[in-house]
Amino acid sequence: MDIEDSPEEAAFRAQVRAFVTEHRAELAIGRGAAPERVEDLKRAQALLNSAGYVGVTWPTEYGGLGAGPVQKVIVDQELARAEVPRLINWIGVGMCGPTIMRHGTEEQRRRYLAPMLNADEVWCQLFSEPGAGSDLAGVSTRAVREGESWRVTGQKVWTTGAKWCDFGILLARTDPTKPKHRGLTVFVLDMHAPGVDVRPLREMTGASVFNEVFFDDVVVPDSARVGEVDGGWAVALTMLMNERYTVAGDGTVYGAGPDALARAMRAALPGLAEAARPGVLEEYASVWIEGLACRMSGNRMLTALSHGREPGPEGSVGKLASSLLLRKAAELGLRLQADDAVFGADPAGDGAWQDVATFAPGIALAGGTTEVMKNILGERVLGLPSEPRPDKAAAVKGA
Amino acid sequence: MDFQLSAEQEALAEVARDFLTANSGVAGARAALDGDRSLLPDVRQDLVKLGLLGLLADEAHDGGGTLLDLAVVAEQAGRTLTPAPLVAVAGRAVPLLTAVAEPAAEALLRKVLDNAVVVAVADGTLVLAEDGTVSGTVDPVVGGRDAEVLLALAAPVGGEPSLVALTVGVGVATVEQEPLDPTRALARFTIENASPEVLATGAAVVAAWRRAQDLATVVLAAEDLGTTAECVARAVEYAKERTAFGRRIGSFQAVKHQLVECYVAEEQLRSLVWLAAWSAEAEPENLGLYASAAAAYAAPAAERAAEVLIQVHGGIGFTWEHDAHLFWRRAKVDRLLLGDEHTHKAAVAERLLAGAVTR
Repeated sequence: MDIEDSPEEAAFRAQVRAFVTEHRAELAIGRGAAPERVEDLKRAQALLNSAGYVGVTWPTEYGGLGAGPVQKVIVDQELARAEVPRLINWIGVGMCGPTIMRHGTEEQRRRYLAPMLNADEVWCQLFSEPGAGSDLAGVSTRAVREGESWRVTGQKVWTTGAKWCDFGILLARTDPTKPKHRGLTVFVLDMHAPGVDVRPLREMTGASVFNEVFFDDVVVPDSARVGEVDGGWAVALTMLMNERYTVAGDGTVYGAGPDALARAMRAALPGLAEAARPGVLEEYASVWIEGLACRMSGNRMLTALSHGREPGPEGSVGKLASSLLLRKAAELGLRLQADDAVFGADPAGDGAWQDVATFAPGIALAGGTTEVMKNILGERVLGLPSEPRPDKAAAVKGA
Repeated sequence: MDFQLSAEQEALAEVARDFLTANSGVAGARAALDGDRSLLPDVRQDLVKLGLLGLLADEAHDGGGTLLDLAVVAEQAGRTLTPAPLVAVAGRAVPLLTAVAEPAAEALLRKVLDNAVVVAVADGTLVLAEDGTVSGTVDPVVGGRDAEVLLALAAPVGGEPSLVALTVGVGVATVEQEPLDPTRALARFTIENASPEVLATGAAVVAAWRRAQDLATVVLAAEDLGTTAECVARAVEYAKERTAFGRRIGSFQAVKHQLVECYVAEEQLRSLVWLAAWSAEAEPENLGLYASAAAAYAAPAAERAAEVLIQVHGGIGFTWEHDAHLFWRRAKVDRLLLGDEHTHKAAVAERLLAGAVTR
């Protein structure tokens, strides 16, 4: 066992740190995506990509660096350390790319992967619908075959970034006469195609990252199909497992990691009432310990990955633990603001913890709700019997 | 980055699992609660033979193992509730006597490693009177019930502490008290004008004492990891078999989700125990911090898992005959040993705010 960088890893880290330090002004441009920031964030991703630090684990033939998962984590750690925000195309790079690499055709890989890394084309995930979220296999957006193409009609929702995206990975129903998991197909959908209508939503944070996406007879060529016709569930599962990895962590990417907490503690402690101190100190320790456990469990997973294992259902442990952690961290951050926590920001205008707190409920939903994560872990890891699913074997619609 | 057990450690875990399962403390614990301690397995001699008792001694005493090796063994002991003297002796007395490196300590170490003498370590500092005797009461000592020699710190008023050895029975009386968990062999002592043997004095004693306490804390957390894991495994097995309302109860989310929460805590605890154990050699300046983190996490994790084990079993889990309460007893006792959750969290916060550079 060794958690230290190997000499090669240390050299790689030094190289990444030097690059990030040199370009910090262009990279560390604040958290949160918004329409007016999209171009700056795209430039930041392209800059990182010029050094190979976006597709760290991707094969070189698709524009990646061809390195291992440990190198990817080193890059992530160095970016977090310099407070570089998440990639504008994190959904593309973290989820869509790996899915196309695994299930797509060679032509698709050559067409889509390199522009994805460079943020020339930004991607979204077209999965959830008003009537299908946790029960994702119940999606009703239809794709009907017409010769060499498909016609797509329906609606998606909670689509992160759709407003500034160029492509999406779409899960659609292609055969409603089959049971729900067996009549689904995945496509690459051109967000600029005629019939695609994106309408922004506003989240409880006040920001507008979510969207509704409507499809009115959108024509999708069969060459944009990912995987087999009616074999979309396996493709969707690849997306979902990668999603859980991108959502896990110790809160650092949301500005609620150990450094942010230590800063907040140091700033708040002198003004804290004596009676409140032991409780606050204990809560601080609790949150830090949870974060440490998340980081170390991440290291265990990373070790497994670097020995060639695919992401499995145990990724749900990280997702579950980190969403609970984020909530606790936010709660502590607010507690440190004392009376100012009743406002949206303190008198100096700092509302960072309010922002984390309003963001945290979303993390308990994104990438599979806490309840769905617990079902996955209970059934796929602990081997407990599943809930009765009366609709599982039935045709979605009678033939 | 290579955060996993080595092939040798996996093999060691297997040896320990087989040996400790064959010497499980579960049945003995119930008998001991009924007043018959004779059925509690005494594995000391076997631990000596397997070289496990002295893992943390130096190479000259056939030790040279790592804390992670010991933690791997301790996890298995925690699964079986075997009263193996890992926390008190292998994790504490052995490294303490090794570190002070004085002839008197070395002589005692040899006796401990040969199983000629059973030692335990008392917390707190005794007052050393001018005539060289000590008196007072000692807080509950892990393994104290079986101990022939007590190791303790003793200091004259305002003076620096020495490491001393007290012979149980000579001015040192065991206070009989009904155990909550007999496998921990906890005992209080009253000491009246006992003449301790001074093993070592000086600044090195305090450092060695602290480090041994941290090592033992990690071993305790590793045992609690095993207890947590065993509770989860037993509860899951039952939830797969038991039927109610025409379904196996593990299919109900109200049951399933509790088990998953305990499982997640088990995995998080495993990560913390490994980190703390690894740091003993690789990052000793943070051993205390990581040991406290693991211990603070271990106590509620084991307690919750034991409570869920009972809850999932329903009425049968509440009976004397069922094993569930034996795990519950261990968890309830362990949370108070070597510092409770609140003490450890206070220590973590203090170290972090003092500027500890951590992982």
